Amino acid sequence: MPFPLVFSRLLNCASRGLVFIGLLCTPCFAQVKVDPKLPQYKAAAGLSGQIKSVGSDSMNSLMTQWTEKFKEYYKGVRTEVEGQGSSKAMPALIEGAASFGPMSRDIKANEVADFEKKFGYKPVLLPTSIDLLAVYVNRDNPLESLTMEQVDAIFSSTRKLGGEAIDKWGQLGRTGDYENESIALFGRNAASGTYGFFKEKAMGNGDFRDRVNEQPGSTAVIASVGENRFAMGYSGIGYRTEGVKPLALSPKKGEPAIEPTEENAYNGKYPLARYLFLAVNHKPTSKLEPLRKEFIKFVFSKEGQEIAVKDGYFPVDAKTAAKALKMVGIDP
Amino acid sequence: MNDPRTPAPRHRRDRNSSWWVRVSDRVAKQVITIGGVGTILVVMLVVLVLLANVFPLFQRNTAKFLTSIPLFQKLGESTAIEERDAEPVACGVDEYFELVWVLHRGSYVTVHSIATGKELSSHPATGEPLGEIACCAVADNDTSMLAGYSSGRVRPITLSFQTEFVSLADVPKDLVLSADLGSVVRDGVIFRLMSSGLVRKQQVNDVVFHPSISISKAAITHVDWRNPQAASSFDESQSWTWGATDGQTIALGVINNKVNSFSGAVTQESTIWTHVPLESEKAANCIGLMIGSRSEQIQTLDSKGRVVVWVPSSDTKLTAGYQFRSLAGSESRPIASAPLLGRSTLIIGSESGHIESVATTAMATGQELRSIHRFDGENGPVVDLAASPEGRMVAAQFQNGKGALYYVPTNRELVTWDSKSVSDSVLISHVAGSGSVSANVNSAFRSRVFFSANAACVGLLSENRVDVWRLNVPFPEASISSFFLPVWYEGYESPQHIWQSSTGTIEGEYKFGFWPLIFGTLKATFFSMLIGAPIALMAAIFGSEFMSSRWRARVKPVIELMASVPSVVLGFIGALVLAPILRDNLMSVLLSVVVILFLFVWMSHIWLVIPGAIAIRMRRFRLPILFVLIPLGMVIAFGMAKPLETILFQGNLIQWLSSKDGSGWSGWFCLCLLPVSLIVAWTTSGPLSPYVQSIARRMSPLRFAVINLGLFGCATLAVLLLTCTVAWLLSTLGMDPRGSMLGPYQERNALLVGGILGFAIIPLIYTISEDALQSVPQHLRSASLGCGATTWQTTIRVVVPTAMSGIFSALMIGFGRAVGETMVVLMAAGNTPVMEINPMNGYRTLSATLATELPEAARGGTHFHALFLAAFLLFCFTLLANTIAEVVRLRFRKRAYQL
Repeated sequence: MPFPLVFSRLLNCASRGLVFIGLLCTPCFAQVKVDPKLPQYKAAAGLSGQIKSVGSDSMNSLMTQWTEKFKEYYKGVRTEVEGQGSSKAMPALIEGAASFGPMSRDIKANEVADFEKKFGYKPVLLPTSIDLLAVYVNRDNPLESLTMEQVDAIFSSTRKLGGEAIDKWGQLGRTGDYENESIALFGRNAASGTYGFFKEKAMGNGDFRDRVNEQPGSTAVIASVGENRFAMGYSGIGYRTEGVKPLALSPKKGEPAIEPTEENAYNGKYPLARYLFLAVNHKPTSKLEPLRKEFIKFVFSKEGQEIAVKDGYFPVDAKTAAKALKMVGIDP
Repeated sequence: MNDPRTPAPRHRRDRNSSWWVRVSDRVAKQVITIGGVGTILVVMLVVLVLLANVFPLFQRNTAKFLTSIPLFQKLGESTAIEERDAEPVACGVDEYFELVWVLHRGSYVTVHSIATGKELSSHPATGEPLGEIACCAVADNDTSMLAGYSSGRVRPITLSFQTEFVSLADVPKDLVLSADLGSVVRDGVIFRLMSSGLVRKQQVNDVVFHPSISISKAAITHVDWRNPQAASSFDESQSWTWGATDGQTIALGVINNKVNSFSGAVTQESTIWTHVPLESEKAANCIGLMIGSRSEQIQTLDSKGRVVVWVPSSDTKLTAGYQFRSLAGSESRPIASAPLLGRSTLIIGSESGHIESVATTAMATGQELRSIHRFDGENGPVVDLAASPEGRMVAAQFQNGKGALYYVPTNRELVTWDSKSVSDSVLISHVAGSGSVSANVNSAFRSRVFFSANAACVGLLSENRVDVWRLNVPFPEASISSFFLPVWYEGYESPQHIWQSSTGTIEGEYKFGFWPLIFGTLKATFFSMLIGAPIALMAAIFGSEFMSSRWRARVKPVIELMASVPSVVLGFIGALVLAPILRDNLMSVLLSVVVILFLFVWMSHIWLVIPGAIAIRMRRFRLPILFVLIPLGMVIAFGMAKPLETILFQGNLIQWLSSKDGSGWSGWFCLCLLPVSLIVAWTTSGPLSPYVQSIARRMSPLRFAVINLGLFGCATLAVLLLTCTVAWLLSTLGMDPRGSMLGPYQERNALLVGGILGFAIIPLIYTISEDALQSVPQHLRSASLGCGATTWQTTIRVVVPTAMSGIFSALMIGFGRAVGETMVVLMAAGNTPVMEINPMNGYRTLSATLATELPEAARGGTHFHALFLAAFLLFCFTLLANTIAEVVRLRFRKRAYQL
């Protein structure tokens, strides 16, 4: 590349970087409709106090938007949202430092045990919305689908799903300039719920290869993939941008590939779907105090679920919502 | 000047100073003392906090005998058949540790309270009678099991515990509950008052005997049963996987329990794959089974110690896949086996008392079985093995009554207990109580060891009672050897240093090898110092000694301003802007460095050719010319890159790096270029220099300059030739830099971060060393220049040695910054915990690991405390570096003071 071009390239890259940040705020996944049977939220009278949420950083923006919207109903309510990681949720609930603990993964046995040691009963995990993890490639990449065995062979060093290691695009049947290029791999850092979920579901609890670049956030993964034609990475569907393309995944060789869509999330066909939870300290036999009760009712209302959709997640249906409300003793 | 070590002589305070001066003097002294001591205390406190969080990792594990629950007492009127029916086959403990259930040979379940030892309820089998139970496998959560019958059938059994919380008011009035009293039993229900004021009601609600499945005509000898798996996250459908054998026939089955989301009705759908050997194929008896981690296969262990993997091949058949002969088979006789958590490792216990783990290993093509761990037993034959449901631990019961708990990945014995001493004392008490307990109803009975559902307890099921020990093993994964020595993990071909601290579910294997992180930290420091330190030092020397003071006053603040760029911004720019540029122009960028350096040296030789008078007048253009050379060098490099890449690297450097094609010659050439040119430069300026000087004396300056230019040309040629020779030699010796010094190119790599981090440490090193150089007394320079030395000679021989202590501090501060830098490496280094010197690959540092993982680590877990160990290591690093720096600095300073 002649030298003056480098500077234009530099500018180009910088502007693309800015575009990525811009795209973050407008996920292009707003066509999902919420279940019409979900109840409309009706504000109760005279609510005040403080809501504090400590937990998952993937759910940070979702939680923030919920609390912001909630505050529009109640002037006297103050809110505070901390998103440091799913593992922070339980300690905060146990210490009474938070009223809600958003978690983007299942609760671990020792976390339940710690909670039980303090209170004598188990924490309640409300399934608030559904997230799909997608395997992304650059939008210029002609690849459309992978089998789960291939995903494992690409990302894992222990290959619990069997098969031979896949290093190059040629091994995925790509030709031309892709053929001899190795696949640049991007993923989340080891502490995130996304990493753990992918490790469990896509790699059968195997190990990540040491070639997988660990990025500090989902945005960074998408930005890296959007920027490199030969890259592949995994991240939540909510972070999808124009620069990347989510692949369809088939659970087994020979079976049809499943697109990461709303429909496939609900019918359980898409292999990398998960609930996003809200952990609550609910003492059995007792009633929740009005503030937490109203917030939970809000989350499981039409308005609350629309916010989840706006943030790139899939809403829960009316039945799940009713079940969730029942878990904390709220009659819908 | 005084020696720094002798304190300044103390003068008596001048009595004429005003009271205000005296008071403020006193106050200042106190404040400074408090501040100083406080700082030291705070640092000590930090160390204490770190150590307080590290020490728990290495605490002693214990197993405390908890209780013994009598199961069956031979009474006068019981018949032999009743006795046989009452024999226990399997048992389990609920998660609250309130009750024990026992499955008896006569196909019924009894439930006992742990607190009182009394039987709470009995649940007889329903459905068709199948005869007596021959064997049983219990799921990890202790709520479901598979029973194998002597009639050749298997049948899943599920238990449902009912846990309810009620307020104290809803408890029957006559029931006395208090926190000290513990559990109270009433009508088969266990009541316990919790600290929250609620009362927990606990009981076994129901025991369901599901429809049976026929496997063979002979009695089932071994079965395996997995924890019920949720078929989908979004409804309650479950899938059950089971395996069974009668010794010869092998069966693997899946039962799908589909829950209709409207009616809630459950429909069962069963699939079975079997292998029935022909009479001629009959081999050794199968004595152990393990269903694979995804229910996709089943492994069998036969009495000769052979482990075979069976895979469903058609609709109904199992076919043998790869196999392995365990050591237990060749050296002794296998007796017991258990699937380790995660179900990729089969633990085998042998008659000689050895315990061995056989794991599925990913090889370059496909998978095979390997024997990866072995515990030597001195306790005689193994009686039974059980795997922990919460970690890669295995409990073993030996024939001599000893029990032991092992952590498999690190070959570590965690804790032992002695069931003999317990059983004797318990037996005596029983004998004293009833007077008719027979110690040995059936000599063929084999004791069983088991874990409670949350792995908090380990139990031993004997013929007539259950003994339970409470385990206190908070950090099984932690040991010096697991942190700092290579560990053979499941699925790997050999023991390795690996850091993978987070696992999706409990079934993953924690890997806490610290070396990749320590290595990453050192690699980050090395490359950033390699790039940053020479530039900063040369800039400081140039700025202090050669630049006019007017320019210096302008340049220095600008460079200091560089330090104010937040490192997260640097990291972001590096990761998203520079990384792609470097990837697309790797050859050009690397070449630019060489070309620009060459142009600088070349230009300095050209400068000498210019006649003296003009040269002096052109003096002020020297710096601008250097600035012009940089873009010029880049243009040349970018022009030359493509042809050079074609000649040296088959057209693409990045592809050459990741492939094994072509010769390693070109790689060696690039690696050797810099060292060889340094050696040649040193030879020409060192040993050859007196000779050159002697010639120079007899010549006019211009003529000498021309000859010097020629000499430089020769040196350049010599460098190229020498590098070619060395590279050729190395590659003919069969060495290829790819795989050791170089390797596949990663977009986030050490070279890139070295550059960015170098940029971050340049201002630090520059400012401090420039200050040090500036503070060298002017008279030293004057003396040197007065003796006829050139500015360069003065700088190198006089100024730099004098300022060495300052320069060294500057380097060490830069070093400290590079070691502790977090954001840049976090954003741009890829965070791959690899141990490769390859500058084209990334790394993960201790600090980046702390930043990403500490917020997510579950408090109080091994991971959490291991991160504190990482923090402590980081602290030790900087402490060590600073101590060395201080010692060296003081020595330099002492020398400087002597001047």
